[in-house]
Amino acid sequence: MAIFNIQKREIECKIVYYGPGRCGKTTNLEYIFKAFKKQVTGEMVSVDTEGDSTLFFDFLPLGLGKIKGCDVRVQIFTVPGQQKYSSTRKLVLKGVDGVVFVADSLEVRREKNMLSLKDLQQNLKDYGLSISRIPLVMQYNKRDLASEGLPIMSIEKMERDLNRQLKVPSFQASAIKGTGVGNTLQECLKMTLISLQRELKWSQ
Amino acid sequence: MSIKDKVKMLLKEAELYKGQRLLKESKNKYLEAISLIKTNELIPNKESLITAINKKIDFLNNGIVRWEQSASTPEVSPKVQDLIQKLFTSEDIKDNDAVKALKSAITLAKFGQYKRAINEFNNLVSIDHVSVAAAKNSIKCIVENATIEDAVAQYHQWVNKKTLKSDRIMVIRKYLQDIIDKTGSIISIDAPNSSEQKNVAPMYEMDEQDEDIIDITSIGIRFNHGPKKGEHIELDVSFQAGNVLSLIVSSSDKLLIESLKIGVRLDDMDFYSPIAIFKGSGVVESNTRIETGPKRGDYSLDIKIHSI
Repeated sequence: MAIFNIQKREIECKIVYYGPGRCGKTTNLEYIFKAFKKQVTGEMVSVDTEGDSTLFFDFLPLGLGKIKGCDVRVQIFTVPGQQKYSSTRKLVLKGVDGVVFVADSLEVRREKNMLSLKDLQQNLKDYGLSISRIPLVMQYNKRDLASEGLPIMSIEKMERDLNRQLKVPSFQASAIKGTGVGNTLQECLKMTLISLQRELKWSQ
Repeated sequence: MSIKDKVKMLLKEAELYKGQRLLKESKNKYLEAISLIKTNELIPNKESLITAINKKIDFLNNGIVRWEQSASTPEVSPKVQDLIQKLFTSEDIKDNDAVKALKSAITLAKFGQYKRAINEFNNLVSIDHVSVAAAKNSIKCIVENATIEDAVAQYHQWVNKKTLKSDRIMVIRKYLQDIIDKTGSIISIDAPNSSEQKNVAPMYEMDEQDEDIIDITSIGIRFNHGPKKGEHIELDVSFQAGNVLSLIVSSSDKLLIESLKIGVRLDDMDFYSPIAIFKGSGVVESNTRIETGPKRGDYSLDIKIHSI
């Protein structure tokens, strides 16, 4: 839940990158950290394991400057995607204002994508939030792996699997190359701020 | 595509999945390659090829086992623990320093950082209004992180040092004994100076995390306003789920039903438990007329404990 300091005219909101293990959530944040230097207001923190998987979360603070007279700060988190970290994942999701769901385009990860989206829906529900109402953006990551000869799913198939009912904005991406990363984040920020503006009724 | 090319493709895929750290997917591709090699007579050096692939599978298996056996919440550095506390502790403007410290310690415990959480809880046990919550959480963490015996030793330390007031130590004793009983252990904790049942001041504001409230058998309500103003009534608890108490009120007591409308805050309540009477407050959460069964016509009320 966003923190709105009326006296200081400051808003702090929380965006969470969700998705199955090894889908590229941390890679998204690493690219944002490198490419959005002007907006980054602190160090990126990664709490990972020896095997390089996210253990608790990654964290990156951004400052968007003044929007409608308010200083907007954004905390970006990733969750640990693996099944064994389900309780940590839920803790990190608490108080979320906007979600980027990073899906893995690899054919072999099809089921993991669907399970992770279901897990997101359940965890949001447990916090009294609805997946169909929260600002949500889909990212179909690892599109570049097709050129290396790995079987990836078509966008149509991924839309059918994950976005048939939600009908949220979706982006193709290759987080390792930075393709689609900025667009995904910008859309999620836009949707989140519109939603917060409506909710908090803040204006100039 | 020839068999040789198919095998090559599977091996390449397996390597790429390994590069993505998708170990199980990589292993599956190696296994597919082996079965393809086994069924084809035209592939030269079959045995040595299978041996080489099996070595790769062994390497993957080691990685899979190591991953599966790794702790899901290992202890992290103090710097990361500080960050966890900063990012995930929700503070209320009304919180005093002790409550803030308690919430910070709870955050650590939720992330499995038990050792530091226990230290922080133990530092709070002597502070009156958070003592019970701190002690309960400390016990909970010790049981998670160490053994029941360690939790009992901690309890005895508080008793010997008189860290907690006697009425509070009774609450902790009951809490610990319940945990012990649930494990099927036969350890029984002696009550220090038992039979101390008396009224106590509110100890800690409840929140959603506080699920381990003691069993309440009945309640007393003193009405400060409304149609029952000045009256004190007592009701039996028919069911308790965490900090929500369910009661039945007879349809004949219309004034009482009217006094307990949804949302009414009850600031002067007594909570009767098997070990003590607690002062506290609550809020009426539901007030529903029973439509079927032997209690038909009566009212079922849920009262959420706000503080105790």
